[in-house]
Amino acid sequence: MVRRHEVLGLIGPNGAGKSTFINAVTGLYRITSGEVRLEDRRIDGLDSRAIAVAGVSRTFQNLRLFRSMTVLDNVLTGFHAGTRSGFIRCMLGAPRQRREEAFTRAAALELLEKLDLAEHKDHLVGSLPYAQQKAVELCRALALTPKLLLLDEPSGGMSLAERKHLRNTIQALAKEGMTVLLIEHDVQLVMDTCHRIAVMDQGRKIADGSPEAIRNDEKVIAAYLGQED
Amino acid sequence: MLRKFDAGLRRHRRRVALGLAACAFLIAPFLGSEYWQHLLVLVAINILVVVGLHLLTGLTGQLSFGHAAFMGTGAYAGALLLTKTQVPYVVGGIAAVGGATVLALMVGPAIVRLVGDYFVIATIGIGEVIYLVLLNSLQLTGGPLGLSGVPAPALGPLTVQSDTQFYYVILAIDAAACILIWRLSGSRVGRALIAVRDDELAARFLGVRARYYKVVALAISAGFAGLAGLLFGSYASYISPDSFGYTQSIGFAIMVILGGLGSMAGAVVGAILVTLAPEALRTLSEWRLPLYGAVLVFVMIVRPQGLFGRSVVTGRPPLAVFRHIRRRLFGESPITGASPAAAVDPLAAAAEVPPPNRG
Repeated sequence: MVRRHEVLGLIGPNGAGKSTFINAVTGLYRITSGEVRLEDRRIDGLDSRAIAVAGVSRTFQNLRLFRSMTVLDNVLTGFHAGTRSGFIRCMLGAPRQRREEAFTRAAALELLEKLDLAEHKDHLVGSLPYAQQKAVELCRALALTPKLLLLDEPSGGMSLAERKHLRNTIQALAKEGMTVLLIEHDVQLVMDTCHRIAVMDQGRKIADGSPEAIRNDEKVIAAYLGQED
Repeated sequence: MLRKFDAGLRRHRRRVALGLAACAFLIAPFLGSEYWQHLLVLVAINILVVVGLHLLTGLTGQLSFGHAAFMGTGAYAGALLLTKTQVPYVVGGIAAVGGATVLALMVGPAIVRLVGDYFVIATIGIGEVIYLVLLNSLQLTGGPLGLSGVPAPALGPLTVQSDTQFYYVILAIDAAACILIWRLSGSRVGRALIAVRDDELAARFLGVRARYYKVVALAISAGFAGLAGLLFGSYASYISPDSFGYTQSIGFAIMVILGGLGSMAGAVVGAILVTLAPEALRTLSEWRLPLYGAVLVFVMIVRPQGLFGRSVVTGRPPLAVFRHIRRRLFGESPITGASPAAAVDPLAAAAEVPPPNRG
Protein backbone atom coordinates (compact mmCIF):
# COMPACT_ATOMS: atom_id res chain seq x y z
CA MET A 1 0.00 0.00 0.00
CA VAL A 2 1.31 3.42 -0.90
CA ARG A 3 0.46 6.17 1.51
CA ARG A 4 -0.36 9.57 0.16
CA HIS A 5 2.62 11.85 -0.37
CA GLU A 6 5.07 9.06 0.19
CA VAL A 7 7.63 7.63 -2.14
CA LEU A 8 7.46 3.87 -1.89
CA GLY A 9 10.19 1.83 -3.42
CA LEU A 10 9.66 -1.66 -4.76
CA ILE A 11 12.74 -3.76 -5.18
CA GLY A 12 13.54 -7.39 -5.58
CA PRO A 13 15.79 -9.74 -7.46
CA ASN A 14 15.22 -10.50 -11.12
CA GLY A 15 12.06 -12.42 -11.75
CA ALA A 16 10.54 -11.37 -8.46
CA GLY A 17 7.43 -10.13 -10.16
CA LYS A 18 7.84 -6.37 -9.91
CA SER A 19 6.88 -5.58 -13.47
CA THR A 20 4.08 -8.09 -13.39
CA PHE A 21 2.80 -6.34 -10.31
CA ILE A 22 2.80 -2.92 -11.89
CA ASN A 23 1.19 -4.22 -15.04
CA ALA A 24 -1.53 -5.86 -13.00
CA VAL A 25 -2.16 -2.69 -11.02
CA THR A 26 -2.45 -0.59 -14.15
CA GLY A 27 -4.88 -2.90 -15.85
CA LEU A 28 -2.63 -4.50 -18.43
CA TYR A 29 -2.97 -7.91 -16.87
CA ARG A 30 -6.16 -9.22 -15.44
CA ILE A 31 -5.84 -10.19 -11.82
CA THR A 32 -7.26 -13.46 -10.66
CA SER A 33 -7.75 -12.68 -7.02
CA GLY A 34 -7.60 -9.81 -4.62
CA GLU A 35 -8.33 -6.23 -5.44
CA VAL A 36 -6.65 -2.95 -6.24
CA ARG A 37 -7.89 0.25 -4.72
CA LEU A 38 -7.18 3.87 -5.34
CA GLU A 39 -8.41 6.03 -2.47
CA ASP A 40 -11.26 3.71 -1.56
CA ARG A 41 -12.24 3.05 -5.10
CA ARG A 42 -11.69 -0.29 -6.72
CA ILE A 43 -9.74 -0.01 -9.92
CA ASP A 44 -8.89 -3.62 -10.62
CA GLY A 45 -10.60 -4.85 -13.75
CA LEU A 46 -10.70 -1.37 -15.21
CA ASP A 47 -8.92 -0.91 -18.49
CA SER A 48 -5.78 1.17 -18.71
CA ARG A 49 -7.57 4.22 -20.01
CA ALA A 50 -9.99 4.31 -17.12
CA ILE A 51 -7.17 3.87 -14.66
CA ALA A 52 -5.31 6.77 -16.19
CA VAL A 53 -8.38 8.91 -15.94
CA ALA A 54 -8.75 7.86 -12.32
CA GLY A 55 -5.38 9.41 -11.61
CA VAL A 56 -2.73 6.75 -12.03
CA SER A 57 0.13 7.64 -14.33
CA ARG A 58 3.14 5.59 -15.25
CA THR A 59 6.38 5.43 -17.12
CA PHE A 60 7.55 2.35 -18.93
CA GLN A 61 10.66 0.30 -18.51
CA ASN A 62 11.24 0.18 -22.24
CA LEU A 63 10.11 3.70 -23.00
CA ARG A 64 6.90 4.23 -24.85
CA LEU A 65 7.27 7.63 -26.37
CA PHE A 66 5.50 8.79 -29.48
CA ARG A 67 8.41 8.67 -31.81
CA SER A 68 7.09 10.74 -34.64
CA MET A 69 6.47 13.65 -32.31
CA THR A 70 8.66 16.29 -30.79
CA VAL A 71 9.37 16.55 -27.09
CA LEU A 72 6.80 19.27 -26.69
CA ASP A 73 4.14 17.33 -28.52
CA ASN A 74 4.74 14.24 -26.42
CA VAL A 75 4.18 16.27 -23.30
CA LEU A 76 1.18 18.03 -24.82
CA THR A 77 -0.35 14.62 -25.38
CA GLY A 78 0.00 14.06 -21.66
CA PHE A 79 -2.52 16.79 -21.14
CA HIS A 80 -5.10 15.01 -23.21
CA ALA A 81 -7.02 13.67 -20.26
CA GLY A 82 -7.40 17.10 -18.76
CA THR A 83 -8.91 18.70 -21.84
CA ARG A 84 -12.11 18.20 -23.71
CA SER A 85 -12.19 19.66 -27.18
CA GLY A 86 -13.47 17.10 -29.62
CA PHE A 87 -13.28 16.62 -33.36
CA ILE A 88 -15.69 19.37 -34.32
CA ARG A 89 -14.21 22.02 -32.08
CA CYS A 90 -10.72 21.19 -33.20
CA MET A 91 -11.58 21.23 -36.87
CA LEU A 92 -13.38 24.52 -36.65
CA GLY A 93 -10.93 26.24 -34.36
CA ALA A 94 -13.61 27.01 -31.78
CA PRO A 95 -12.85 29.44 -28.95
CA ARG A 96 -12.88 26.74 -26.31
CA GLN A 97 -10.36 24.75 -28.28
CA ARG A 98 -8.12 27.76 -28.68
CA ARG A 99 -8.26 28.50 -24.98
CA GLU A 100 -7.53 24.93 -24.04
CA GLU A 101 -4.65 24.77 -26.48
CA ALA A 102 -3.09 27.96 -25.13
CA PHE A 103 -3.47 26.75 -21.58
CA THR A 104 -2.08 23.32 -22.38
CA ARG A 105 0.93 24.76 -24.15
CA ALA A 106 1.75 27.04 -21.27
CA ALA A 107 1.43 24.21 -18.79
CA ALA A 108 3.55 21.91 -20.93
CA LEU A 109 6.31 24.49 -21.25
CA GLU A 110 6.29 24.95 -17.50
CA LEU A 111 6.70 21.24 -16.97
CA LEU A 112 9.51 21.07 -19.49
CA GLU A 113 11.27 23.91 -17.72
CA LYS A 114 11.00 22.07 -14.45
CA LEU A 115 12.69 19.02 -15.88
CA ASP A 116 15.33 20.96 -17.79
CA LEU A 117 13.97 19.91 -21.12
CA ALA A 118 12.78 23.25 -22.45
CA GLU A 119 15.67 23.72 -24.84
CA HIS A 120 14.75 20.48 -26.58
CA LYS A 121 11.08 21.14 -26.93
CA ASP A 122 11.06 21.14 -30.71
CA HIS A 123 13.40 18.23 -31.16
CA LEU A 124 12.14 14.84 -32.15
CA VAL A 125 12.18 12.61 -29.13
CA GLY A 126 14.13 9.95 -30.93
CA SER A 127 17.05 12.29 -31.35
CA LEU A 128 17.60 12.80 -27.65
CA PRO A 129 19.98 10.75 -25.51
CA TYR A 130 18.31 7.85 -23.76
CA ALA A 131 18.29 9.40 -20.31
CA GLN A 132 16.61 12.51 -21.63
CA GLN A 133 14.03 10.44 -23.41
CA LYS A 134 13.22 8.92 -20.05
CA ALA A 135 12.88 12.42 -18.68
CA VAL A 136 10.44 13.26 -21.46
CA GLU A 137 8.36 10.24 -20.60
CA LEU A 138 8.37 11.30 -16.98
CA CYS A 139 7.33 14.77 -18.01
CA ARG A 140 4.50 13.35 -20.04
CA ALA A 141 3.37 11.23 -17.12
CA LEU A 142 3.41 14.25 -14.84
CA ALA A 143 1.17 16.13 -17.25
CA LEU A 144 -1.68 14.00 -15.97
CA THR A 145 -1.22 15.53 -12.50
CA PRO A 146 -1.60 12.04 -11.20
CA LYS A 147 -2.67 10.97 -7.76
CA LEU A 148 -0.22 8.13 -8.05
CA LEU A 149 2.89 8.06 -10.19
CA LEU A 150 4.37 4.69 -11.06
CA LEU A 151 7.95 4.69 -12.23
CA ASP A 152 9.00 1.42 -13.85
CA GLU A 153 12.78 1.04 -13.59
CA PRO A 154 13.55 4.61 -14.59
CA SER A 155 17.26 4.27 -14.06
CA GLY A 156 17.71 1.53 -16.63
CA GLY A 157 20.57 2.32 -18.95
CA MET A 158 21.65 5.44 -17.13
CA SER A 159 25.13 6.51 -16.25
CA LEU A 160 26.13 7.50 -12.74
CA ALA A 161 25.68 11.19 -13.42
CA GLU A 162 22.28 10.56 -14.93
CA ARG A 163 21.23 8.51 -11.94
CA LYS A 164 22.20 11.38 -9.67
CA HIS A 165 20.04 13.68 -11.74
CA LEU A 166 17.20 11.19 -11.55
CA ARG A 167 17.59 10.97 -7.79
CA ASN A 168 17.35 14.73 -7.52
CA THR A 169 14.28 14.77 -9.70
CA ILE A 170 12.50 12.17 -7.61
CA GLN A 171 13.47 13.97 -4.43
CA ALA A 172 12.09 17.19 -5.86
CA LEU A 173 8.84 15.42 -6.70
CA ALA A 174 8.69 14.02 -3.20
CA LYS A 175 9.16 17.47 -1.75
CA GLU A 176 6.15 18.63 -3.71
CA GLY A 177 4.11 15.90 -2.15
CA MET A 178 3.79 13.59 -5.15
CA THR A 179 2.81 10.04 -4.32
CA VAL A 180 5.25 7.75 -6.08
CA LEU A 181 5.72 4.03 -6.44
CA LEU A 182 9.25 3.48 -7.63
CA ILE A 183 10.15 0.11 -9.07
CA GLU A 184 13.86 -0.22 -9.32
CA HIS A 185 16.87 -2.42 -9.69
CA ASP A 186 19.24 0.23 -8.42
CA VAL A 187 19.02 -0.35 -4.69
CA GLN A 188 21.11 2.68 -3.86
CA LEU A 189 18.75 4.95 -5.75
CA VAL A 190 15.84 3.49 -3.85
CA MET A 191 17.60 3.93 -0.53
CA ASP A 192 18.26 7.57 -1.33
CA THR A 193 14.84 8.58 -2.47
CA CYS A 194 12.21 6.46 -0.78
CA HIS A 195 10.44 6.95 2.49
CA ARG A 196 9.60 3.30 2.64
CA ILE A 197 10.64 0.23 0.75
CA ALA A 198 8.85 -2.98 -0.07
CA VAL A 199 10.73 -6.02 -1.24
CA MET A 200 9.41 -8.77 -3.47
CA ASP A 201 10.77 -12.18 -4.16
CA GLN A 202 9.22 -14.98 -6.13
CA GLY A 203 5.97 -13.13 -6.50
CA ARG A 204 5.43 -12.30 -2.88
CA LYS A 205 6.21 -9.40 -0.62
CA ILE A 206 8.87 -10.46 1.81
CA ALA A 207 9.61 -7.23 3.62
CA ASP A 208 8.31 -3.74 4.10
CA GLY A 209 9.82 -0.90 6.06
CA SER A 210 12.17 2.02 6.19
CA PRO A 211 15.37 1.95 4.16
CA GLU A 212 17.34 1.28 7.32
CA ALA A 213 15.20 -1.66 8.28
CA ILE A 214 15.33 -3.16 4.82
CA ARG A 215 19.06 -2.80 4.60
CA ASN A 216 19.44 -5.03 7.60
CA ASP A 217 16.58 -7.42 6.98
CA GLU A 218 17.71 -11.03 6.87
CA LYS A 219 15.11 -12.19 4.37
CA VAL A 220 16.05 -9.41 1.98
CA ILE A 221 19.72 -10.19 2.20
CA ALA A 222 19.01 -13.84 1.63
CA ALA A 223 16.90 -13.09 -1.40
CA TYR A 224 19.65 -11.00 -2.89
CA LEU A 225 22.47 -13.38 -2.07
CA GLY A 226 24.23 -14.32 -5.22
CA GLN A 227 22.70 -11.38 -7.11
CA GLU A 228 25.07 -8.78 -8.43
CA ASP A 229 24.03 -5.21 -8.12
CA MET B 1 23.01 14.82 -33.79
CA LEU B 2 20.03 16.77 -32.65
CA ARG B 3 17.44 17.41 -35.28
CA LYS B 4 15.61 20.58 -34.73
CA PHE B 5 12.97 22.67 -36.33
CA ASP B 6 13.79 26.18 -37.17
CA ALA B 7 10.19 27.09 -36.69
CA GLY B 8 10.32 30.52 -38.21
CA LEU B 9 12.09 29.53 -41.38
CA ARG B 10 9.91 26.51 -41.76
CA ARG B 11 6.77 28.56 -41.42
CA HIS B 12 8.01 31.03 -43.98
CA ARG B 13 8.92 28.32 -46.44
CA ARG B 14 5.60 26.67 -45.91
CA ARG B 15 3.72 29.89 -46.61
CA VAL B 16 5.63 30.40 -49.82
CA ALA B 17 5.01 26.84 -50.93
CA LEU B 18 1.34 27.15 -50.06
CA GLY B 19 1.03 30.38 -52.01
CA LEU B 20 2.66 28.86 -55.05
CA ALA B 21 0.49 25.78 -54.83
CA ALA B 22 -2.67 27.87 -54.55
CA CYS B 23 -1.69 29.85 -57.63
CA ALA B 24 -0.93 26.68 -59.51
CA PHE B 25 -4.29 25.19 -58.64
CA LEU B 26 -6.13 28.35 -59.58
CA ILE B 27 -4.57 28.90 -62.98
CA ALA B 28 -4.37 25.22 -63.90
CA PRO B 29 -7.47 25.17 -66.09
CA PHE B 30 -5.97 27.81 -68.34
CA LEU B 31 -3.03 25.64 -69.15
CA GLY B 32 -4.64 23.15 -71.42
CA SER B 33 -7.44 22.01 -73.60
CA GLU B 34 -10.67 20.19 -72.90
CA TYR B 35 -9.02 16.93 -72.07
CA TRP B 36 -6.88 18.66 -69.49
CA GLN B 37 -10.01 20.12 -67.86
CA HIS B 38 -11.36 16.61 -67.58
CA LEU B 39 -8.18 15.42 -65.88
CA LEU B 40 -8.27 18.34 -63.48
CA VAL B 41 -11.75 17.45 -62.35
CA LEU B 42 -10.64 13.90 -61.66
CA VAL B 43 -7.66 15.18 -59.73
CA ALA B 44 -9.87 17.44 -57.65
CA ILE B 45 -12.24 14.59 -56.84
CA ASN B 46 -9.41 12.31 -55.84
CA ILE B 47 -7.89 14.99 -53.64
CA LEU B 48 -11.10 15.07 -51.64
CA VAL B 49 -10.95 11.32 -51.06
CA VAL B 50 -7.29 11.42 -50.25
CA VAL B 51 -7.52 14.19 -47.67
CA GLY B 52 -10.02 12.04 -45.82
CA LEU B 53 -7.83 9.01 -46.21
CA HIS B 54 -4.92 11.00 -44.83
CA LEU B 55 -6.91 11.47 -41.67
CA LEU B 56 -7.48 7.76 -41.35
CA THR B 57 -4.21 6.38 -42.57
CA GLY B 58 -1.67 9.14 -42.26
CA LEU B 59 -2.69 10.48 -38.90
CA THR B 60 -4.35 7.55 -37.23
CA GLY B 61 -2.29 4.85 -38.83
CA GLN B 62 -5.16 2.69 -40.06
CA LEU B 63 -4.37 1.59 -43.57
CA SER B 64 -7.48 1.18 -45.70
CA PHE B 65 -7.58 -0.80 -48.91
CA GLY B 66 -11.31 -0.48 -49.23
CA HIS B 67 -12.04 3.19 -49.36
CA ALA B 68 -13.82 3.05 -52.68
CA ALA B 69 -16.60 1.32 -50.79
CA PHE B 70 -17.35 4.52 -48.94
CA MET B 71 -17.09 6.49 -52.12
CA GLY B 72 -19.54 4.16 -53.83
CA THR B 73 -21.95 4.11 -50.93
CA GLY B 74 -22.04 7.89 -50.82
CA ALA B 75 -22.34 8.14 -54.58
CA TYR B 76 -25.31 5.83 -54.71
CA ALA B 77 -26.96 7.29 -51.64
CA GLY B 78 -26.80 10.78 -53.03
CA ALA B 79 -27.51 9.83 -56.63
CA LEU B 80 -30.54 7.72 -55.77
CA LEU B 81 -32.00 10.54 -53.73
CA LEU B 82 -31.34 13.11 -56.41
CA THR B 83 -32.65 11.04 -59.30
CA LYS B 84 -35.74 9.74 -57.57
CA THR B 85 -36.78 12.96 -55.87
CA GLN B 86 -36.63 16.66 -56.48
CA VAL B 87 -34.61 17.63 -53.47
CA PRO B 88 -31.97 20.32 -53.87
CA TYR B 89 -28.47 19.17 -54.61
CA VAL B 90 -27.21 20.11 -51.18
CA VAL B 91 -29.59 17.61 -49.64
CA GLY B 92 -28.21 15.01 -52.00
CA GLY B 93 -24.76 15.94 -50.83
CA ILE B 94 -25.78 15.49 -47.23
CA ALA B 95 -27.25 12.10 -48.10
CA ALA B 96 -23.99 11.11 -49.75
CA VAL B 97 -21.92 12.09 -46.74
CA GLY B 98 -24.50 10.55 -44.44
CA GLY B 99 -24.67 7.26 -46.31
CA ALA B 100 -20.95 6.75 -46.26
CA THR B 101 -20.68 7.81 -42.65
CA VAL B 102 -23.42 5.44 -41.58
CA LEU B 103 -21.61 2.58 -43.26
CA ALA B 104 -18.42 3.52 -41.46
CA LEU B 105 -20.21 3.72 -38.13
CA MET B 106 -21.75 0.33 -38.73
CA VAL B 107 -18.55 -1.51 -39.47
CA GLY B 108 -16.19 0.73 -37.56
CA PRO B 109 -16.62 -0.44 -33.97
CA ALA B 110 -16.00 -4.00 -35.07
CA ILE B 111 -13.05 -3.55 -37.35
CA VAL B 112 -11.06 -1.05 -35.31
CA ARG B 113 -10.44 -3.78 -32.80
CA LEU B 114 -8.35 -5.47 -35.44
CA VAL B 115 -4.65 -4.93 -35.40
CA GLY B 116 -2.49 -3.86 -38.34
CA ASP B 117 -2.71 -6.33 -41.17
CA TYR B 118 -6.06 -7.67 -40.07
CA PHE B 119 -7.61 -4.24 -40.24
CA VAL B 120 -6.39 -3.89 -43.81
CA ILE B 121 -7.88 -7.24 -44.71
CA ALA B 122 -11.17 -6.16 -43.18
CA THR B 123 -11.21 -3.04 -45.31
CA ILE B 124 -10.62 -5.15 -48.39
CA GLY B 125 -13.56 -7.25 -47.30
CA ILE B 126 -15.80 -4.22 -46.90
CA GLY B 127 -14.78 -3.04 -50.33
CA GLU B 128 -15.76 -6.33 -51.87
CA VAL B 129 -19.03 -6.58 -50.01
CA ILE B 130 -20.16 -3.12 -51.00
CA TYR B 131 -19.16 -3.71 -54.59
CA LEU B 132 -21.17 -6.90 -54.71
CA VAL B 133 -24.16 -5.32 -53.01
CA LEU B 134 -24.16 -2.47 -55.50
CA LEU B 135 -23.73 -4.89 -58.37
CA ASN B 136 -26.51 -7.22 -57.38
CA SER B 137 -29.19 -4.83 -56.17
CA LEU B 138 -30.86 -4.54 -59.55
CA GLN B 139 -34.04 -3.11 -58.15
CA LEU B 140 -32.38 -0.45 -56.10
CA THR B 141 -29.25 0.55 -57.88
CA GLY B 142 -29.71 -0.77 -61.38
CA GLY B 143 -26.93 -3.25 -60.78
CA PRO B 144 -24.38 -3.53 -63.53
CA LEU B 145 -26.43 -1.21 -65.69
CA GLY B 146 -25.57 1.60 -63.39
CA LEU B 147 -27.49 4.71 -62.53
CA SER B 148 -27.72 7.52 -64.98
CA GLY B 149 -29.11 11.00 -64.94
CA VAL B 150 -27.20 12.10 -61.86
CA PRO B 151 -27.68 15.87 -61.85
CA ALA B 152 -24.94 18.42 -61.73
CA PRO B 153 -24.26 20.29 -58.51
CA ALA B 154 -26.54 23.27 -58.08
CA LEU B 155 -27.05 25.91 -55.47
CA GLY B 156 -30.24 27.88 -55.94
CA PRO B 157 -30.29 29.22 -59.47
CA LEU B 158 -26.66 28.39 -60.13
CA THR B 159 -25.77 25.12 -61.75
CA VAL B 160 -22.40 23.76 -62.65
CA GLN B 161 -22.24 23.57 -66.39
CA SER B 162 -18.75 23.01 -67.61
CA ASP B 163 -15.76 20.94 -66.66
CA THR B 164 -13.94 24.05 -65.58
CA GLN B 165 -16.76 25.08 -63.29
CA PHE B 166 -16.84 21.60 -61.87
CA TYR B 167 -13.13 21.89 -61.18
CA TYR B 168 -13.40 25.15 -59.28
CA VAL B 169 -16.37 24.00 -57.23
CA ILE B 170 -14.64 20.81 -56.20
CA LEU B 171 -11.42 22.72 -55.60
CA ALA B 172 -13.26 24.95 -53.16
CA ILE B 173 -14.57 21.89 -51.35
CA ASP B 174 -11.05 20.46 -51.33
CA ALA B 175 -9.71 23.64 -49.82
CA ALA B 176 -12.31 23.54 -47.07
CA ALA B 177 -11.51 19.88 -46.41
CA CYS B 178 -7.80 20.61 -46.21
CA ILE B 179 -8.33 23.43 -43.77
CA LEU B 180 -10.47 21.28 -41.52
CA ILE B 181 -8.04 18.37 -41.49
CA TRP B 182 -5.04 20.63 -41.10
CA ARG B 183 -6.59 22.34 -38.09
CA LEU B 184 -7.43 18.96 -36.68
CA SER B 185 -3.94 17.58 -37.06
CA GLY B 186 -2.37 20.37 -35.05
CA SER B 187 -4.87 20.10 -32.24
CA ARG B 188 -5.45 17.98 -29.21
CA VAL B 189 -7.43 15.44 -31.22
CA GLY B 190 -4.79 15.32 -33.92
CA ARG B 191 -2.14 14.60 -31.34
CA ALA B 192 -4.30 11.90 -29.88
CA LEU B 193 -4.71 10.28 -33.30
CA ILE B 194 -1.00 10.33 -33.93
CA ALA B 195 -0.40 8.98 -30.45
CA VAL B 196 -2.72 6.10 -31.25
CA ARG B 197 -0.75 5.51 -34.41
CA ASP B 198 2.65 5.62 -32.74
CA ASP B 199 1.86 3.66 -29.62
CA GLU B 200 -1.74 2.87 -28.88
CA LEU B 201 -0.97 1.39 -25.51
CA ALA B 202 0.85 4.47 -24.28
CA ALA B 203 -1.91 6.64 -25.69
CA ARG B 204 -4.52 4.75 -23.70
CA PHE B 205 -2.45 5.19 -20.59
CA LEU B 206 -2.78 8.90 -21.11
CA GLY B 207 -6.52 8.69 -21.23
CA VAL B 208 -7.02 8.61 -25.00
CA ARG B 209 -10.16 6.79 -26.06
CA ALA B 210 -8.37 4.97 -28.83
CA ARG B 211 -11.25 2.96 -30.18
CA TYR B 212 -13.60 5.93 -30.29
CA TYR B 213 -11.07 8.08 -32.11
CA LYS B 214 -10.37 5.37 -34.62
CA VAL B 215 -14.05 4.98 -35.41
CA VAL B 216 -14.61 8.71 -35.75
CA ALA B 217 -11.56 9.04 -37.98
CA LEU B 218 -12.96 6.26 -40.12
CA ALA B 219 -16.35 7.96 -40.22
CA ILE B 220 -14.99 11.35 -41.22
CA SER B 221 -12.75 9.90 -43.90
CA ALA B 222 -15.72 7.91 -45.17
CA GLY B 223 -17.81 11.07 -45.30
CA PHE B 224 -15.25 12.83 -47.45
CA ALA B 225 -15.10 9.84 -49.78
CA GLY B 226 -18.89 9.69 -49.97
CA LEU B 227 -19.17 13.30 -51.03
CA ALA B 228 -16.41 12.78 -53.57
CA GLY B 229 -18.36 9.82 -54.89
CA LEU B 230 -21.46 11.89 -55.48
CA LEU B 231 -19.44 14.65 -57.13
CA PHE B 232 -17.89 12.04 -59.37
CA GLY B 233 -21.35 10.77 -60.20
CA SER B 234 -22.52 14.25 -61.05
CA TYR B 235 -19.52 14.82 -63.21
CA ALA B 236 -19.97 11.63 -65.18
CA SER B 237 -23.77 11.94 -64.76
CA TYR B 238 -23.66 8.18 -64.52
CA ILE B 239 -22.34 5.77 -61.92
CA SER B 240 -21.83 2.06 -61.91
CA PRO B 241 -20.36 -0.33 -59.36
CA ASP B 242 -17.24 -0.72 -61.45
CA SER B 243 -16.16 2.78 -60.55
CA PHE B 244 -15.95 1.84 -56.91
CA GLY B 245 -14.03 -1.38 -56.79
CA TYR B 246 -10.79 -2.77 -55.54
CA THR B 247 -8.69 -1.05 -58.20
CA GLN B 248 -9.92 2.34 -57.11
CA SER B 249 -9.33 1.53 -53.45
CA ILE B 250 -5.78 0.48 -54.11
CA GLY B 251 -5.31 3.60 -56.16
CA PHE B 252 -6.27 5.79 -53.22
CA ALA B 253 -4.02 3.86 -50.88
CA ILE B 254 -1.13 4.31 -53.27
CA MET B 255 -1.77 8.02 -53.51
CA VAL B 256 -1.36 8.36 -49.78
CA ILE B 257 1.57 5.99 -49.46
CA LEU B 258 3.46 7.36 -52.42
CA GLY B 259 2.94 10.90 -51.27
CA GLY B 260 4.10 10.01 -47.81
CA LEU B 261 2.11 8.71 -44.89
CA GLY B 262 1.53 11.39 -42.35
CA SER B 263 1.80 14.30 -44.72
CA MET B 264 -1.29 15.99 -46.08
CA ALA B 265 0.68 17.77 -48.78
CA GLY B 266 2.13 14.40 -49.67
CA ALA B 267 -1.33 12.92 -49.98
CA VAL B 268 -2.38 15.72 -52.32
CA VAL B 269 0.75 15.34 -54.43
CA GLY B 270 0.22 11.60 -54.49
CA ALA B 271 -3.34 12.14 -55.72
CA ILE B 272 -2.13 14.38 -58.49
CA LEU B 273 0.59 11.99 -59.59
CA VAL B 274 -1.45 8.83 -59.48
CA THR B 275 -4.39 10.46 -61.25
CA LEU B 276 -2.35 12.03 -64.03
CA ALA B 277 0.23 9.32 -64.60
CA PRO B 278 -2.05 6.66 -66.07
CA GLU B 279 -3.36 9.23 -68.48
CA ALA B 280 0.13 10.10 -69.49
CA LEU B 281 0.90 6.44 -69.90
CA ARG B 282 -2.28 5.69 -71.86
CA THR B 283 -0.90 2.62 -73.50
CA LEU B 284 -0.42 0.90 -70.16
CA SER B 285 -4.02 1.21 -69.02
CA GLU B 286 -4.59 -2.54 -68.83
CA TRP B 287 -1.56 -2.79 -66.64
CA ARG B 288 -2.92 -0.42 -64.09
CA LEU B 289 -3.41 -2.89 -61.28
CA PRO B 290 -0.06 -4.66 -61.70
CA LEU B 291 1.57 -1.28 -62.04
CA TYR B 292 0.00 -0.13 -58.79
CA GLY B 293 1.34 -3.23 -57.13
CA ALA B 294 4.79 -2.65 -58.51
CA VAL B 295 4.81 0.97 -57.39
CA LEU B 296 3.69 -0.04 -53.93
CA VAL B 297 6.41 -2.62 -53.59
CA PHE B 298 8.98 -0.22 -54.99
CA VAL B 299 8.04 2.51 -52.56
CA MET B 300 8.11 0.12 -49.63
CA ILE B 301 11.58 -1.07 -50.45
CA VAL B 302 13.29 2.05 -51.67
CA ARG B 303 11.60 4.87 -49.83
CA PRO B 304 8.95 3.76 -47.37
CA GLN B 305 8.31 7.24 -46.15
CA GLY B 306 7.08 8.28 -49.58
CA LEU B 307 7.88 11.52 -51.28
CA PHE B 308 7.17 13.83 -48.43
CA GLY B 309 8.33 11.65 -45.62
CA ARG B 310 6.48 11.54 -42.41
CA SER B 311 5.67 14.83 -40.91
CA VAL B 312 5.59 15.39 -37.24
CA VAL B 313 2.43 16.09 -35.39
CA THR B 314 2.04 19.68 -36.44
CA GLY B 315 1.39 18.45 -39.93
CA ARG B 316 4.27 20.32 -41.44
CA PRO B 317 5.72 18.29 -44.26
CA PRO B 318 9.49 18.24 -44.08
CA LEU B 319 9.66 18.22 -47.88
CA ALA B 320 12.07 15.38 -47.54
CA VAL B 321 12.51 14.97 -51.25
CA PHE B 322 13.71 18.54 -51.71
CA ARG B 323 16.05 18.28 -48.81
CA HIS B 324 17.42 15.15 -50.34
CA ILE B 325 17.98 16.80 -53.69
CA ARG B 326 19.56 19.82 -52.08
CA ARG B 327 21.88 17.67 -50.06
CA ARG B 328 22.97 15.84 -53.15
CA LEU B 329 23.45 18.96 -55.20
CA PHE B 330 25.08 21.23 -52.70
CA GLY B 331 26.36 18.93 -50.01
CA GLU B 332 25.01 21.35 -47.45
CA SER B 333 23.59 20.23 -44.16
CA PRO B 334 20.15 21.69 -44.33
CA ILE B 335 17.87 22.43 -41.46
CA THR B 336 16.35 19.07 -41.06
CA GLY B 337 13.09 17.97 -39.70
CA ALA B 338 11.64 14.52 -39.32
CA SER B 339 14.16 11.74 -39.63
CA PRO B 340 13.66 9.68 -42.79
CA ALA B 341 14.89 6.67 -40.88
CA ALA B 342 11.94 6.90 -38.55
CA ALA B 343 9.58 5.97 -41.33
CA VAL B 344 6.34 4.28 -40.53
CA ASP B 345 5.68 0.75 -41.66
CA PRO B 346 2.04 0.92 -42.62
CA LEU B 347 1.52 -2.77 -42.15
CA ALA B 348 3.16 -2.91 -38.76
CA ALA B 349 1.05 -4.29 -35.97
CA ALA B 350 -0.16 -1.93 -33.30
CA ALA B 351 1.39 -1.84 -29.85
CA GLU B 352 1.24 -5.04 -27.89
CA VAL B 353 1.12 -5.59 -24.19
CA PRO B 354 4.70 -5.55 -22.91
CA PRO B 355 5.95 -9.05 -22.16
CA PRO B 356 6.36 -9.82 -18.50
CA ASN B 357 9.83 -8.65 -17.62
CA ARG B 358 11.98 -10.68 -15.35
CA GLY B 359 11.83 -8.82 -12.08
